[in-house]
Amino acid sequence: MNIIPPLLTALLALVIFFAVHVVMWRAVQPKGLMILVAIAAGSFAIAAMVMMTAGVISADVWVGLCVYLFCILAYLHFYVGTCRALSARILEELMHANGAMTLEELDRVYPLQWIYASRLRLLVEHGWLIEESGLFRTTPKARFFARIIVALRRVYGITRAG
Amino acid sequence: MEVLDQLWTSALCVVVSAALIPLLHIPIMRLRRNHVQEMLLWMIASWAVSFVAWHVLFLWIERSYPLHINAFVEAYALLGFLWLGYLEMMFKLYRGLSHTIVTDIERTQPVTLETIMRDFAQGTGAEEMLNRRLRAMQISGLIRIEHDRLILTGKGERAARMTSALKSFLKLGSCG
Repeated sequence: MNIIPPLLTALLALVIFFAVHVVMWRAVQPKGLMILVAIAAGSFAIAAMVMMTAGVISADVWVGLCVYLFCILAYLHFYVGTCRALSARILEELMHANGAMTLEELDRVYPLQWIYASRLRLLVEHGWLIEESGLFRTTPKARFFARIIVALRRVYGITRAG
Repeated sequence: MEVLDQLWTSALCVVVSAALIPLLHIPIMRLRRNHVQEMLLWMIASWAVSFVAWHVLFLWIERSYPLHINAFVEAYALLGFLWLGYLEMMFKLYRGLSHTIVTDIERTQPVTLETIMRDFAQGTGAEEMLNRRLRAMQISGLIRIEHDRLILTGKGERAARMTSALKSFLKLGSCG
């Protein structure tokens, strides 16, 4: 048992993951985070099967999984940060405006109302909120989730969230 | 079998030492609750302590055996994974926009978009939310703010180019 088989297992899974991810993202819609997680799980399953067929033992596959999980989570951080973060979008808008703009100009190209409306639309789409005649309510799933968040914020003493 | 035993021991030590991250972080955060900018620093410190704790535990348990590199790789990767997960959770608790929208609506529902924006984060408001992001970007050295004018720094431009390239490569559109 040496370090090469686990690293090869993780590397193979990462290659499969990025190949499928890039091809799908460039060719197919929608591009949800859960689809990305499913691709990650499937990629490791394929890599593990290939490596075990080639004679790699399950303990090596387990160590490979640990390395793979770390790499995937690091990538998901980067991906979500790029895709969803307000700061990333503001930086992009600044870059398109030759590096400088006023707050009013920022609000014209990236309106605050749009930021909230797009979040609300996503929350409705994913079953967290219900919209009726412009009024938003939480679903039972969101209620449960909200209680956990509020409890955790209380534990950490977070009073200025958001 | 000795290697397998070490992998089990290593994983067990990860569970014990990773539990130190919230155990240390929670009291510190409660004591330093008004210093949000220190959040990341304390998280790194908590993680460093758990990392050292793993070594102490593992080497103490396995002291009479030759140590195997796979047990170390397993532990470093798992601790890194758990820490990244914890980092994400903390970020969502502090700055998660959608999370705060959900907790706000849960408190005052039913509400309109305008009310959500006005009363965002228990009355902080949408504009203050944006100002916090801008201040954080300024502290990180990504932008400068001069007379209500946002100016991209060199570091900010590099970050913008990187995210813009990824979005264009993956055809993500102008999300955000």
